Amino acid sequence: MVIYGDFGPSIVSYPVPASALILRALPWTLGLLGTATVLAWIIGVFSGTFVGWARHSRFAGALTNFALLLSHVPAYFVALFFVFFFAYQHPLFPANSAYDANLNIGWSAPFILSVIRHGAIPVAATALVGACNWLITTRVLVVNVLGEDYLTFAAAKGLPTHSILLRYVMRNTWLPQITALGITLGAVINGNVLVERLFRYPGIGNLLVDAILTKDVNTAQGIVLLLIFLVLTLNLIIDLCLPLIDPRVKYIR
Amino acid sequence: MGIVRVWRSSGKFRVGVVITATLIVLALLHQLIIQLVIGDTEPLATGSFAIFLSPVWEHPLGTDRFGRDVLALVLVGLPNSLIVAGIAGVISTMIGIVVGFTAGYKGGRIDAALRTFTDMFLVIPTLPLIIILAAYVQQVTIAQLAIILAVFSWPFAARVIRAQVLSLRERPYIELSKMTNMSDREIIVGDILPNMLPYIGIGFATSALGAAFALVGLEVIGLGPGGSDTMDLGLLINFAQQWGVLSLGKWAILAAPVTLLVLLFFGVVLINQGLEEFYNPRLRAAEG
Repeated sequence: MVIYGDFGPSIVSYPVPASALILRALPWTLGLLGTATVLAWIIGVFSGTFVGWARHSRFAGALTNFALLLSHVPAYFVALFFVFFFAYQHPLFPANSAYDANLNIGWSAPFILSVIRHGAIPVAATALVGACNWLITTRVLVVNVLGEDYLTFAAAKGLPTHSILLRYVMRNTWLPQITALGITLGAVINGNVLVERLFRYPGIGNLLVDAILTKDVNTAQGIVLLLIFLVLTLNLIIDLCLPLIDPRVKYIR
Repeated sequence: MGIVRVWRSSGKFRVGVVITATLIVLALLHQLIIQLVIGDTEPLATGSFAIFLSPVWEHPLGTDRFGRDVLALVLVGLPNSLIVAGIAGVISTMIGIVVGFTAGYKGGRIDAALRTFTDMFLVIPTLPLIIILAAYVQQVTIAQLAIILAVFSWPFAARVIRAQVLSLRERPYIELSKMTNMSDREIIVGDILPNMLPYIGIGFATSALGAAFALVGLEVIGLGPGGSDTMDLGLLINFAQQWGVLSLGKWAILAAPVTLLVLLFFGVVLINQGLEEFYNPRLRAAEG
């Protein structure tokens, strides 16, 4: 039954199957995590390359230390601070739910805008912690590449610095990063459960906590199985994709 | 010894040790300080004082919704949080040492099997599982919770230790010990273990920190240990959110536990970084 995605009926909202509840919550979580992961990756990789390249400057050193400290902070802790500063001190963004309750759900401009506004703090918190992690890993990779001869050659050819960084340095950091993406996925989901709970965001994490507090066993089981299945499958896909990106990686048949 | 050298050379390590030691001393002396602040009043007894007082001289952090002194609550909660972190850290480090040493030293098939197992644990999102377990064991005690947390936080320690054992195993002095017909146990205890201590320390600190924050996570959800008579920092954060202290302007109730947790976090991370930079010259080269 479980293999077919049938987790039985939800015990709390009885005739509705648990899978329907989960499917309703899934897009919110995917949207939140997807945006946060992409943002974190872009910010982290570019700033990491910069910090690695300009590693002797004082600003880069400060940024690295800042990222080192922040990268271990749980995302919901950062979210807590953001809520304090951007929702209570300066009420710029709403601090709960995923959209304005007065609006109809649909693809209308006000609704999408309200979703973006409501998602700003949770996404920013998750992305900030993620970006710090990417910054550190990228920096180590970049520093290791910097001494290579082909970079000296590229500089001798007269290539401008930004194209050396983009085309020669950053490419070398891709492979370990893609592997790291799979490993961090679990941690990101961990953090997301609490962030969603904090904002009462209608995603998987919040649903899981609700299900457990109301002893809705079928839904809880469904979510945990789904999350583990998702993470493991994504890791498998990532591993299988590696040879496409780097021809040096080969799987022996 | 090595620790003294790290202390001398690394400012990060010094600051980290001072912060962490202060917190531990606070936790050890909590009864004394509570005595000084609110006298013989039971810190968890409700209705001792007026509710939601703003910080005044008698109540440096104000009082909460049930008329309890917030400073006293924080001080009762701190040791519990540290105990969970400590127990979970010790257990997961021990599992990590056993798995890491077996995998790294034995190598071959045992290594492959253990490594796959470790990686699987590392990748799986553990928090949902911890939540389920904590809900399944109703009225978890502090010790039970620490064990649950330890079961899921050992893979990191195991991984770090295994990698290090693997590189130590090939050193010439280990070869020498093998040639003189020393047993595996003697080599592991006498030759490898002393060189591993800083890495075991890092593993312990990371697991303990992870457990401390996982406890906060569980409390925020409402699945903490014990009934209303067990206080910890996470539960205070949970209360603060339930009561909406930010909108009431009683920020001290939320700020106090958060500050202590952030301090604990900075202290441990700084110690970790100090140790890592000192014992891992490659990282130092990358720093330069």
